[in-house]
Amino acid sequence: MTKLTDLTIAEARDGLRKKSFSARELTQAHIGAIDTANDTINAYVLPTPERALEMADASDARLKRGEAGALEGIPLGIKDLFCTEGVRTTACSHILDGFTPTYESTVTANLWAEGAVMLGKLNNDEFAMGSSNETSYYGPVVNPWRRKGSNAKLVPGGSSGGSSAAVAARLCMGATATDTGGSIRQPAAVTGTVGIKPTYGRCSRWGIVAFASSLDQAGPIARSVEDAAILLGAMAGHDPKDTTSVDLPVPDYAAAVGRGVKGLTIGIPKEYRVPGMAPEIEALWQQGVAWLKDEGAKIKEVSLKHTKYALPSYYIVAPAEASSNLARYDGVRYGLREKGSDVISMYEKTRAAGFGQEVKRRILIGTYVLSAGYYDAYYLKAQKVRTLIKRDFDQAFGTVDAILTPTTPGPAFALGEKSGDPVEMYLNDIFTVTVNMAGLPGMSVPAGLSSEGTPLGLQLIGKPFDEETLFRVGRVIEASAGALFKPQDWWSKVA
Amino acid sequence: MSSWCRRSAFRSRPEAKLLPHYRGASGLAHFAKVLSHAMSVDRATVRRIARLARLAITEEEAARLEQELSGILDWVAQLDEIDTGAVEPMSRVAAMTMKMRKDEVSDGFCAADILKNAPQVDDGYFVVPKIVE
Repeated sequence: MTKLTDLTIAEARDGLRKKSFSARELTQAHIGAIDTANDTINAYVLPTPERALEMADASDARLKRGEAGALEGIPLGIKDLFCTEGVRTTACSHILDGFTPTYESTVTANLWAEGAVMLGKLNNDEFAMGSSNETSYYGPVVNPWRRKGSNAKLVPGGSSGGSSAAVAARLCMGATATDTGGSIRQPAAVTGTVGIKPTYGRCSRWGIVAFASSLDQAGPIARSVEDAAILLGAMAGHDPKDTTSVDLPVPDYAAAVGRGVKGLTIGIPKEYRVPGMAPEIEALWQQGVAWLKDEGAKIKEVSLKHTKYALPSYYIVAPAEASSNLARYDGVRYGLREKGSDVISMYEKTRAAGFGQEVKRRILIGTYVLSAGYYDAYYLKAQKVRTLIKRDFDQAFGTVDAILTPTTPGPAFALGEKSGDPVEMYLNDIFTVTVNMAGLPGMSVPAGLSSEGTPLGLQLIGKPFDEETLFRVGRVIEASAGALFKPQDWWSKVA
Repeated sequence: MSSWCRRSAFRSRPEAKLLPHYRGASGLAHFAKVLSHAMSVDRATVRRIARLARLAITEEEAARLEQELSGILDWVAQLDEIDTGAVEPMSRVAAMTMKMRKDEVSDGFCAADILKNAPQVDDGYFVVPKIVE
């Protein structure tokens, strides 16, 4: 029999309903996996096994009564950016030391309402600022994938590196994540998992620690396209507590998964094909095109001519909004406080001790671009560039149903390999960040292995609120790529 | 990592003009300010910005940040190539009217919850170091 931790959410749901195993057994199997793996992988910053077993028992009771929700008894990991009532939430920052919310984020509340079980809080880059999970106050996460013939520790991507690693290492069946510039899709790509950032407004941001409010969106990371669809269906929906959340019905995403691509036109943006692009990334992209053609899709070249301006404008908008959002961490209402001779020195010392290097860098850039005399030249300019980026997509979507690109410029890199130059690290988000700037849905699907034997992903970009098409196309890529995406277990302690 | 996405490929070209299409500048003083953004950030500016952001920084950090912030700002300066004079700033992904709720109390009366995570409280108040002598 397949190990319980290897099941997909869809398979586990069937098993629970058929009483092949109980929610308690399923949860216990994951708690055991976390116990043997977490010292090595560091995916969880706070496992919550007691709460998990309580929730699993409640699920078993509901299953018995025939009152099962869409995620009844399914054990999930929760990124530490989501506020969880009575469970420490720190955004993996020292400045939120010991913060224990008295409220629950809307997205997690939606998951619990459908019967999901919380296994614990997952590691991430501090305040979701990073592409490798190396900026976390709780230390880096290790990718369960290794290069062929090497024991070098690789990064799991970021900022949702705990989510991607936990899902890939079978330490949960699915995870919540957030994406401001690629933080769901890039970690998914480098761990062989599926990640979708829905359209801005699809999921409520209420109760999620804010990074850049006009870009942040929640979404799931899972091991299959169908699982990602099931999870997003439960997470999404209108919330009066978030004025940017959209009051549109949530479609049955899982039903869209099997519809195929016959009759769809897929756009290939020529600006993403840059001279000097790694040959294996180009080959992967061509392979994706071939698979979609074989399944009956039409392929069309499109132009997104402002692509190269997305990353520099992102590094104005995101730090500007972050510097404003992070002003609240002042040592008065929650978290860390350092002593000072007066209130200003208390603020300055608390923030100096509480924020890590990358967060300070972004706060300062943000403060600079918003300071007197610079607002128009930087922030307003960048917001205008967003309009141009969005307009490129609007034109492309006049003739295509979805757009196919690589997710990342390369496979997982080693810990410490790129921490020297901030701009070099930022370039990891080159293919993903345009999607946040335009507010569109984007999904990464595992599509192949690099020459190093580590996973690579393809990205699908959709029209606003058309996540269904992404699930259709994503499923075809997943099926064409085949089952390549299970890392070999080197991390479990031998009992 | 492929060579094309290394930093050099994305640096603004030296000949790129500074905001040649900038609209709305009110006089020379403003234009000079705008112009100055292409220069490297100096140590005094790093200190001023850190003060505004309420971040204490060491001399060593200030030296590093001077380099890093200059590098990032030089890199974003490539946006100056685009004419955005007639472009509206983006506000949202899809046209949507913001929903209004009824003007009535829907939350509150939870002072204990609000104070629960504070480092120092006294009798229902947040306590901070003395502000007024």
